[in-house]
Amino acid sequence: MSDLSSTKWGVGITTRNLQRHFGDLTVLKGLDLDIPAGESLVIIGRSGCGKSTLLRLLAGLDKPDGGQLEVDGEAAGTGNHSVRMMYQEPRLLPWKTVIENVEIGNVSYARAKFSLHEVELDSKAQDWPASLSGGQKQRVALARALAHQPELLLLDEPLGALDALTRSTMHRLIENLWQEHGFTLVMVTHDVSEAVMLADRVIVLDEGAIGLDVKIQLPRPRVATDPSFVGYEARLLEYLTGVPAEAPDETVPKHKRATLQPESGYLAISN
Amino acid sequence: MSLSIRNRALAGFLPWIVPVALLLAWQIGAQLGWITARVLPAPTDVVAAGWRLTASGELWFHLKSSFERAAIGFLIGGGIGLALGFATGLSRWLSLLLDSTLQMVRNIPHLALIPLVILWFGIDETAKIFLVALGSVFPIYLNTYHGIRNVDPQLLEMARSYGVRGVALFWHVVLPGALPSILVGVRFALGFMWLTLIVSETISATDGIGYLAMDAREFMQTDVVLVAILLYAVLGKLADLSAKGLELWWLRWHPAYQRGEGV
Repeated sequence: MSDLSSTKWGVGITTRNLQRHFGDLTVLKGLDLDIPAGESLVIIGRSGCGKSTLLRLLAGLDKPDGGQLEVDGEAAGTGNHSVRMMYQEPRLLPWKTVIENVEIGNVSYARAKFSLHEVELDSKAQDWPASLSGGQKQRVALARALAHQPELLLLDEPLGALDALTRSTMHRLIENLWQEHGFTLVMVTHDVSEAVMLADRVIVLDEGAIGLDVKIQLPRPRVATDPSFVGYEARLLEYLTGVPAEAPDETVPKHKRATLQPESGYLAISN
Repeated sequence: MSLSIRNRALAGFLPWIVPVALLLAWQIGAQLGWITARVLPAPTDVVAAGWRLTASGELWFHLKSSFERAAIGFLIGGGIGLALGFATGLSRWLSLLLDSTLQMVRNIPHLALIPLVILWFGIDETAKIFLVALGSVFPIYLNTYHGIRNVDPQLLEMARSYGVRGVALFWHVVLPGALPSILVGVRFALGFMWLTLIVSETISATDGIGYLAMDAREFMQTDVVLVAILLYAVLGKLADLSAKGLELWWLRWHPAYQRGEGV
């Protein structure tokens, strides 16, 4: 069991001209993205910007309409890579105990037990999911993903429904496990602060293309009150809202509030 | 509801007042001759008749016949309903092919088929088992189909992405997800099972509780008729309790069935 935690794995992702349409609606229009192995990438953007679509393409739950999507140099779906996804909802099987949920997909008992230990839920192994709190359920979902030793872990706003305190505990947990295992992490979120907390790099998706690509160069573990942390947050918020973040909301004319400014938006901010 | 200890004792006592009063009125009325024994013999006479039948072994003989009919018919009908429900629930094509027909047939009250069933099978055992089976098919079919169709698609997507497919997907995700609904079907089917059994045994039989009642009617043994009716009530209750027991065990993961454990 000693080797269960020591493995380092991670896989690089490359997309070229990646496209996805739903009827007349173009959700992704020619996305070029390189994610180095082991990077923690956070994707933010408004509802409908294509971030969940991109995640589902990476997970292989959906097929692109055009362009290339390569995982570790191989076309997606052809390689033998372990890609796991955590959803907005925990999606635990309510009729299976916590440990049985982690064992899903031919995971050994020892492996499942170890993954539960990693998310600090050893004591809940024999409980029913219905008896767990929201945060505990998501930790079981995390353990379930980890048990498959993912080379790429995809997180689709898994913390959105949790309270602030639980969320910040989960941030630490995810960060530690990511550092420990070295998998590539791609997370989608609405929460700018969460993005700055976890990401090596944040990209803002804007109408199906990369609007902003920012490297977060802060030492870990990060502190949300740190001035440079706040600076990153302000920059992302400014891009997302099109409004200087320092300006109190009341002083902003209504018509400016919810408008993105595409011209300025496509300028990547360099560090 | 917060009741004081005194009120709680009262709450335990209140529901019994009406039945006990009725029973007493019945006993007194029968003893004083207000109610003739042919209409309604005294409760003590009914108990005595029940005891007599038990002691002579007659009761067990008829009980066994009825139980066998009910069980065989239910297993056949329930099995067919379950199989059809799985087929249409799991396959879009089979659902298109079969479901509308089954929904149409389901609307025919199965007891309306009695004349036809007598023409086909005569009045022997097959006819009764056929009717019981027919009565059990549709509640189980409908609820199985419905249950499978309503398995959370998010759980299915999750399981597939974790490499769970085919038989394993059915066994670990689809079946447990449909089980609450299937068990509702089982309880409905058990109700139909007894109803059908009673009707078919009263029409023609040489054994069984229905026969016991009809035979007693010939000889105006109202007490035995009442024993038979009570037996049906007890059997129906037992069937319902066993279905409830299955729910408690199979759905023990379900918050609605948990008795303060784990939480």
